[in-house]
Amino acid sequence: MLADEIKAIRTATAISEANHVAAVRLSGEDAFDVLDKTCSCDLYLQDAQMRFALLLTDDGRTLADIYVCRDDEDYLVLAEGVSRQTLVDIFRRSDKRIEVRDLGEEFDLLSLHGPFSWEFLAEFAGPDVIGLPYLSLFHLDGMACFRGGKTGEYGYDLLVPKGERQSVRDKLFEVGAAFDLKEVSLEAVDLCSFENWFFNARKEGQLGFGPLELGLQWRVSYGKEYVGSAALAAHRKEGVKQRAVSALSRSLLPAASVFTKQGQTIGRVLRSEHSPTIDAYVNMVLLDCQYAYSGIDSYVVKADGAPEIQIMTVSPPVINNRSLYVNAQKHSYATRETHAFPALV
Amino acid sequence: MDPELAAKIERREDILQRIRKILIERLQVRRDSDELDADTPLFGAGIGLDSVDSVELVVSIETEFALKLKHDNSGRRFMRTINTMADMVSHLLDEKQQKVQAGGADARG
Repeated sequence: MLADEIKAIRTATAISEANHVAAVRLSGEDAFDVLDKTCSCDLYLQDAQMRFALLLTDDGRTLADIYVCRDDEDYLVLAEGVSRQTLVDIFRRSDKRIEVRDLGEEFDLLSLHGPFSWEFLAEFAGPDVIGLPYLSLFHLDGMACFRGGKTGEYGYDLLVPKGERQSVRDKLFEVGAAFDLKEVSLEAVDLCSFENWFFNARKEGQLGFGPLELGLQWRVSYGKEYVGSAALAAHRKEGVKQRAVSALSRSLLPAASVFTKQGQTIGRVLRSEHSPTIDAYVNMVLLDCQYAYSGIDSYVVKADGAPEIQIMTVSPPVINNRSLYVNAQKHSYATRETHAFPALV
Repeated sequence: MDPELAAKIERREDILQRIRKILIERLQVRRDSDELDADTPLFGAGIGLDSVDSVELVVSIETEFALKLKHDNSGRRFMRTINTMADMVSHLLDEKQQKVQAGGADARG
């Protein structure tokens, strides 16, 4: 049941298959140059550091949501929103000295989530993982482990050799029993990600918008040239007209239904999902910039033939993530009931 | 736009811009103001502030808005994005205003 899966991600530990993520290893003399001219962020990365970035289309729209990670002299790219073949094709260039290895041929990706996933992983892999900084990589018995996550809780992605996938899963579930480890669906992970306002390249990323509309400028550089950068800079110069805002409602907002204020159309609905945690609908709405602010409760949504629905624009994340308060020095899953954590909402 | 909504948005925009200014001028965030989207994460993945920056940010917010922030766990949920910081500032400014009004009423009563 989806609500149980969400609860596991928000309060305990969870595991999900992440076969929707494409992963490549870039190596060779030109790997840095090719990556630098392809991805949106500045590549000031030390060994084992990771960064969120984007791949854009030539006209500056979002194509993929990526982690870029430096691994010694190589770079690892984990991407959502494009297929494995597309990701390989993006980087494979005959005129450059770059080797592009499709990691999907050799590895499967397992993701761990939850406010106690750090403790669970430490039981599985040893206590050193507890001190790993957010957005870093470490190697573990032939696996690569990325500390990232897109749910607002502690999160880790394990690149597991295909031949060891079942034995690793078995061991994870054996160790995870003490942490009430639950297998969760991509739907549950996506919903938690949405509650925390992480960009989803498979959802809003497919709607033809760019970093300016989606509030993703923190993932882009205006100081270098890369695919889509010229279009993005031009769009910024001419001025963005609409921006995505988070909003809550008591009812589902039909996709593409319009927002009105005093009879005037001021925006439209991009995405609407029910959150069992807050028992309300979390929405992504695109509003004219002059209206695109949090804390407004006077906008209404009008869908054909349906009653008007009042919404409240809010500042995401809409969840008070438990991982903000869980401290490895003080807390443990076994003693969680004795700690007074703030409510999730 | 009706005057009530316009006033609400103007106040919100003022708070957001003052927070952006703090980030750029006091915390040396190397971004132009229009690059700092309201939902940009402040720590870790986004602007990349750290725990030392958080102290400077709190002090700067207190100074800029003449407010006293709560120095306990309750403030953590607001230390996430420019928008959540603006929520906290807005809430505390409202509280301050109400206290002033209540004080005035007490004095008259």
